Amino acid sequence: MIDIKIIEECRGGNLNNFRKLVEVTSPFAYSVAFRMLGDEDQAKDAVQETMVTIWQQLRRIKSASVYKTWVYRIVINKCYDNLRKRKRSIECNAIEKTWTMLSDTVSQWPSSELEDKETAMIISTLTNKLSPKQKAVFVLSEMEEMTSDEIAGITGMSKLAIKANLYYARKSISEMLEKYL
Amino acid sequence: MKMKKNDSKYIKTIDLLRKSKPLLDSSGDIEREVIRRISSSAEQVTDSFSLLDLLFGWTNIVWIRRGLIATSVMLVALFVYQQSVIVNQLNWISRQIVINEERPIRATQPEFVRQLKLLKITGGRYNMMNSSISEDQIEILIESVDKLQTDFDNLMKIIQDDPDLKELIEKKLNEKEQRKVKL
Repeated sequence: MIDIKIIEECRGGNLNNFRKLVEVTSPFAYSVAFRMLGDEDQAKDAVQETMVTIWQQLRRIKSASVYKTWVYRIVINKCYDNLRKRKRSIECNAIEKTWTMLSDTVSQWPSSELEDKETAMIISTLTNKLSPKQKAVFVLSEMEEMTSDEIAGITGMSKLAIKANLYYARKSISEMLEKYL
Repeated sequence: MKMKKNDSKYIKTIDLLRKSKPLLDSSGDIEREVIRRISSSAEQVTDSFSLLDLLFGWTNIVWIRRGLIATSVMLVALFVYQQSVIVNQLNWISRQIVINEERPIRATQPEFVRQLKLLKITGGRYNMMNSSISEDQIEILIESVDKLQTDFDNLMKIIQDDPDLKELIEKKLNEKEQRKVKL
C-alpha cells in the first residue's frame, strides 16, 4: 500500500516528492497498460499520461487505501483512449509466428517463461478481437488476478457485466487456442 | 474431452502469461519524462483549463467529460444567443421610444386635419418644418382646393343627372383621345 505521507507531500506541489510516487506507482500501472495494449512503447506512454493525470488530480485522494484503485481506473481509461484511437490489425506473418512460439512454450509448460516482446505479441493476438471493456475485464481478472468487486471498483461495471464480458473474453480466447494451437 | 483439452490449453496459456509479468526496465526514463511534462504543462496552465478541470475533473471517464463539456458549451452558446436576441429587441424598442419623443403630435384636431389636407394636396412632399410659405397663404390654398373639390363634385353630379350632357362630354373626351393618338 502507498504511504499516505507520500501523497500528502506531493499535494504540496513538490516534484521531488512526486518522483517517489512515480517510482512506486509505475510498475503496477505499466503491468496493466502492457497487458491491455500488448505494446511496450504504448504502455510506457499510457503510464506517463497516467502519472501526469495523477499529479493534476492528486488533491482528490483522501486516503491511501483508494489510491491503487484510482490509479488502475486512470490507466484503464488511458488504455481505452489508446485502443479507440488505433484500429490496427495484426499482420498474418506475425500471427503465425506468435502461434508457433506459443505452441512451443506451452509444450514446455510449466517450466517455460516468456520475454516481454513475446508476451506482448501473444496478448495482442489473443485479445485482438475483444472489445476494450472485455479486454479490461480479462486483463484485470485473469492477468492481475483481481476479484469482481475490485474490477467493479476500477471499471465502474456491474458484477453481471463483468461476468458477461469475462465469459465472452474466455470463450473467444479458448476458441482461438483450440483453432490455432 | 474436447472441452477439457481446450481448458487445459487456456489454463496453460494464462498461467504462462501470468508468470511472464512485464517488467518496467526504464522507470527512470518514465520518471524524467513525467517530470518534464509536468514542468512544461505547469507553465502553460491557463485559467480556463483550471476551470474545466475544476468543473469536470471529478470524472475520468472520457465520454462523460466530453459530454459534459459539449453540453456546457451548448448551454453557454444558447445563453449568449438569447442575450443577443433580448438586447436586439431592447434596442429596437428603445429606438421606437426615441422616434415618438422626437416627433410628438402637438397639433390640435382642426389643425391636424388641415396638415393632413396639405400633405394630401402636395402628395406627401410638403415639409411643415422647413416651409417658407406663410400660414395665411396655406389657409388660402386649402380653401381654394376645398372650393375646387366642391365645384368638381357638383359638376359631376349635374353630368350624372343629365344623360344628354353626359353623352356629349363622353363624345368630346373620345374625340380628344383620338386626336392624341393621331398625333
